[in-house]
Parts: sequence; structure tokens; C-alpha cells
Amino acid sequence: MPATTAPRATLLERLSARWKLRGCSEVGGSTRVRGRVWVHGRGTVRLGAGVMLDGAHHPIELHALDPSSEIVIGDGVFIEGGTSIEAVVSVRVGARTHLGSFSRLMDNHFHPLVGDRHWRPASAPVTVGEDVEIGPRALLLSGANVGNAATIRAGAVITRRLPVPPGATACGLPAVIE
Amino acid sequence: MSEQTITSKRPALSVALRQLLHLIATDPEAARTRLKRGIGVLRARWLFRNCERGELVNALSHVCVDVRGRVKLGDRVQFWEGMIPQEIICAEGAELTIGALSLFNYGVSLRAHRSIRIGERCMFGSLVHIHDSGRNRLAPIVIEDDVWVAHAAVIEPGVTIGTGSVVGAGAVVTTDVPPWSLAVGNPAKCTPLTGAERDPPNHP
Repeated sequence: MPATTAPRATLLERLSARWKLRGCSEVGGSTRVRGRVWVHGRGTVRLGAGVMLDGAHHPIELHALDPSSEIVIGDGVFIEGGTSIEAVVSVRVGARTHLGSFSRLMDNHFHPLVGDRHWRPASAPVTVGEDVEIGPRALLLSGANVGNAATIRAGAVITRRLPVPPGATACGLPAVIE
Repeated sequence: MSEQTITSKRPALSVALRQLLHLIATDPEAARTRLKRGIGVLRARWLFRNCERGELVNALSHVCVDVRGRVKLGDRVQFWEGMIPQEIICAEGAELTIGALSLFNYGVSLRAHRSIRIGERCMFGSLVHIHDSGRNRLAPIVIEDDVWVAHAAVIEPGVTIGTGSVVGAGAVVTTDVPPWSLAVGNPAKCTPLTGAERDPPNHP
């Protein structure tokens, strides 16, 4: 649904959204929030116009760790409850994308496979195109790249090894293109 | 965390309070984390009052605890805060052992109906499920030292995970995982982690 045709938020909705998203550095017009949203970290979080954050059942987490890290969410994105976005470098979500409940986008594994587990490995930015549908419990790990109008099925795990081309459907673990 | 040294001697309350006040004046951010940690330790004492606890077990937010069996928590086990509380269920006659310095992220669910044994310095990501019973199954789960289980992995009954192994995000572990290997997929397939034995995980 294009952001321009979305119903306008009421004054109360706008005020509560402004309070709940006070940790964001930029928030577009008619952004709406239900329930709880946690915006942590020292980085920048930018939300486009007409973003809907539905945290009524479970909270939504937007975590930009370092001062240089950024989370950019495009216009008209719908985020369901339990979604967690963690950025060390950058996570970008294109316009009109739908993020299902408990989906997780992270651009860092936070622990190396081998060696000292408390040392943070290098990050690779996560990019999600426009009009993408991400199913519930899907995982986009460091370096994931999803093209425009693609579909990620529920529970799929997308890594840097599988760039999802525009319009494709990815499912399973390890993920394959249908 | 790595700068901390494990000491059995704790300062007197008045000394600790004076130190905290000094810290609030000089470094409010550090004082906040220390206060949070202190509250977490007290919360863990209350929540795990029916369990055998080691020193400084820490619950940074609420943990759903239902203990009827025998639960043993090692020193400095940590339960982190997040959107969903952790769940620890131990049925009557069951045994649940967690080794020292293990970390649990939010939403971890541990349900012991017979036995779950977790080694030292293990790490569990968010929403990990470790249940040792199914509809027709009841088999003990053993997780050895230095294991890292990533986000949303599921460990099925009767599985043993070897020392230093890593379970990938979203994996469903149905068979035993040998030491120093990586288990990924649904059902999980194991591949050896090269160089892991020579370079063991170095925790505080």
C-alpha cells in the first residue's frame, strides 16, 4: 500500500508515536506506533513517512549500537511485533516492505565461530529492497541482500552466501530460491 | 567484564554504598550499570530461592521459574533482559544443571522433565528452545563446555552437543553434535570448525 493513500494518523496517535520514537534521529509524517518500541544505542535510526510499528503483542527493537551505525527504514514499511533490527554498520529496509513477527535483521554475528567469543567480528551491511515481504521468524544475517519485490518465507535464514534476486522467493534453512 | 576478577571476599555494605555514591558523582553511566547488576543479583536470589546457586547469579529482568526438581546454577550465570522473559521449568524428579559463566539471552526456554546438563561458559542466543521431552519422547540433553547456540535454535530431546561447538541461527538439532563443529540447518548438519581446537574460546 503506497504511503500516500494510508489513512492519516490522529493527533493522539501522532503525539504518542513522537514520544515512543524519541530515540530516533528522524521520523517521517504519519508514522504510527501500537504498543511498545525500544530504540536503543548511540547510532542513528531514520524512519520514513507512514511507517507502521505494531508492537502490541511483543515489543519491537531497533538497536543501532555504535555512533556510526545506522538503521534506515523506508516509507510505508509495516513492522510486526517481536521484530528486532540490530545494526553495527547499516541495515536498510526499502519502502512498503512488510516485516513479519519475530523476524530478525542483524548485520553482525556478534561472536566469532572460532577463538575468543567476546570479540566482535567484522560487519557486512544488510539491504532489503522495496515491496519485499519477509515472513514471520525469518532471519537476515550479516551481508544479506534482498532484491525488490522478493518474498522471504517464514523461518528462512538468509546469509551473505545467498543474495535474493528481485521478485524471487527464498525459503528454508539453509535457504534456497524456489 | 574481562577486567573483573573473581573474589570470594565481598566489601561491607557501608563501603559498597560509599563506593556507589562516589561512582554516581564521577561516572553516572557506570553507576547505572553497576546498580542494575546489583538489582539483578538480588532478583536472581529471590527467583532461584529453591535452587542451588553459585555466587553472583544475575537475572537482569524477570525470569519465569517453575522449579519442582533439582536445579543447580553455577557462579556468575547471567540471564539478560529483552522482549520476552526466559523460562526455566524443572519437573518433579528432573535435574537441570547450568555451569559457571553461562549466558542466556532473552526468550530462552529450558524445560527439564528428566535431565538437562549445560557446561561452563556456554552462550545461548535469543528464543532458543531446549526441551528434553516431546509427546512420545523423554531423553536427557547434554551440552558441554564453551558451546554457542545462536538465535532461535531448537535442541531436541536426547541430543549431546560437544565442547566448543556452534549451533547456527534457526537450526533444529536432532542428532548428536561432535566437539568443535558447526551445526546448521533444519535438520542440522555438522561440519568441523577448522582451527577451533588449537584456538579455544577464551572467556572471562
